[in-house]
Amino acid sequence: MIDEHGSRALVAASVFIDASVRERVAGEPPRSEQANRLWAAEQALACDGVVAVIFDADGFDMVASRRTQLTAARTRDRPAVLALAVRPWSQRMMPTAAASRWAVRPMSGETSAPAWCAELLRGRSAVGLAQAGTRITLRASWSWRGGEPPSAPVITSA
Amino acid sequence: MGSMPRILAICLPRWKADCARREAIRRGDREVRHIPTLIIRAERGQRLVVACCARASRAGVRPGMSLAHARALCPEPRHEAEESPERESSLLRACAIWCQRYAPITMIEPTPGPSAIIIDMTGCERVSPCERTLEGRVVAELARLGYAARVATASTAAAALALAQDGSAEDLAGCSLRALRLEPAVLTALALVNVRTVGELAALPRASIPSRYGEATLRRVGEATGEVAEFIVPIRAEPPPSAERIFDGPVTNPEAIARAAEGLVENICAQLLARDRGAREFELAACCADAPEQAYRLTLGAASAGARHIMKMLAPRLERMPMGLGVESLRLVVLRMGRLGPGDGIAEWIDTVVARLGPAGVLRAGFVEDHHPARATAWIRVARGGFSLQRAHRDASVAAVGAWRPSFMAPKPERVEVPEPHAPSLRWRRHAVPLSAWHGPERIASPWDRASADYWRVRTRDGQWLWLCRCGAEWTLAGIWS
Repeated sequence: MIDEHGSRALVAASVFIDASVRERVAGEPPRSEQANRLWAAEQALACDGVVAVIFDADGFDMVASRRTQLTAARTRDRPAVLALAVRPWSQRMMPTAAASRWAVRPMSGETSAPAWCAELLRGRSAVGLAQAGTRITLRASWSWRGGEPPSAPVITSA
Repeated sequence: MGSMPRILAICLPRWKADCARREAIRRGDREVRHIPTLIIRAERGQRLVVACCARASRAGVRPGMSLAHARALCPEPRHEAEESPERESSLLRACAIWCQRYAPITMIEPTPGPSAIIIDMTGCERVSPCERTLEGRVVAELARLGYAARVATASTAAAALALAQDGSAEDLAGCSLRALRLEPAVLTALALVNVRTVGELAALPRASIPSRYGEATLRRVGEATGEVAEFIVPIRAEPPPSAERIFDGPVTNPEAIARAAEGLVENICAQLLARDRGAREFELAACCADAPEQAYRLTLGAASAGARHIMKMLAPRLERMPMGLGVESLRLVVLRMGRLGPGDGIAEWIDTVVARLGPAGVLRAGFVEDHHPARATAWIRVARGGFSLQRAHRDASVAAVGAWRPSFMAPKPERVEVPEPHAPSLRWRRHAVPLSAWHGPERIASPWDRASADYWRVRTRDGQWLWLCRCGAEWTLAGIWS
């Protein structure tokens, strides 16, 4: 659970890349935003100092997905990097090479804090959690100075 | 030409303590600014305080005290550092080079005594403000670097230095002899005959001075009054690392040019590593036959001395370089250097991304202490200052104000119809949205030109949280949590 200061520290220690900005190179065809996005994600995953990359995987096909998966995977020289590929809901059925696939929805909880439900749609052995259908409830706490205690993620099996 | 010499002397009375503090700040210990600093030297099995900062001095610490005595006078927390002549002299040299912003000729005072820098202002009157203003500016700018300084201007270096070091004297005649940097034995001998100021010493018959107090004393007096010429040995900044390759004739083979550039980069990197520095910005100039000289400037996100990385950034430029009838020579000059950072590959990665997406595509978040989320964060281009985790920690410590803020701000606030606070439903885009909870209001003050507004956190029946704003009688949807 990350508190208010922790999340700020996380944001401050992050670099944001806007792949829609592109510099035309004379003599080369302009690159698409999607190609730039894939390239930037791969570059970040290949960098030694980076521990996690969150990227928009809108429109990534199986080849692109496999490429990021291979870049993020552990090699002999370096540990694995956490790669979170975020896809729009409409593309949930598209094939992907990701180690696990989750569906995240907002939940109307009993408490006043916002909550999300993350459901494991498909996971390969490396995930550590059980089979598909595992659900994790994620709750945010409103108040970071006392008040309602921040709750740990609740894991419920469907 | 007979312009009168004007010499500005900077006396740095707390140089040892200032250097130690600066080094500690560079290591990341920011507390040092607010606590006393003691400089220690081990001498004959005893630890003595050789210098201290103004704060310790106010507590009663004097140079020459034993460390135990000084510790008793200034309580914890305090910063204690060993004396380091190398650190002090290298920083003094760097400071003298820094002072060349005021006038091109600067020198480190060679005589023993408190550290001092001499600046020859002769002929610079037209470009610098009046002497008093300039003195104030020098003191203020050195203070910003963390150096306490006393400054004076006179027509000779020895006189300016004496005035700067004494501080309380009105003119040279009133300066104490200590400020003239005479030998301690001479000072005691002169004190015996009750000669304590420069004016009193200058009034003695000149012929008697060398036999009693030595040639050096007479020369020093003469230097101060301007009767004897003194030498100023200017200090020169090291030229930036550069390398050049001249071909036998015009070369058009791109591979040969790339090979030559590689050699230049390796040469530069060896020079940089010898100085323990990295390049921030460099220029590649190519002389082509039958074409004007072409220069490319390249800026790196962080100082780097890695030949492979520099070559990678340079290669696309080389490929696109119009060569005319052939390249005759290549020259690589480092324009800006910086301290080498941690070798975690982040800087190289950022350089690579900036090279492809442009500086506007690589951003970091900056925090501002403000209650309104629209004003509390700002995008900052990473390429401008590089990325450092140290700064990220500092940025994140800007006080977080207010409660949680929505994850999405509406690009343009949308009108919603709300009959009253705590109503069971609202109308948004002509649909009724049933609500299950209201939290608020929270009033956020705006700059003077806009009205303050009240904000509510509202939960819909589906679990979606909305951020509502009421300004006067008008309700708008300011943002949502997704």
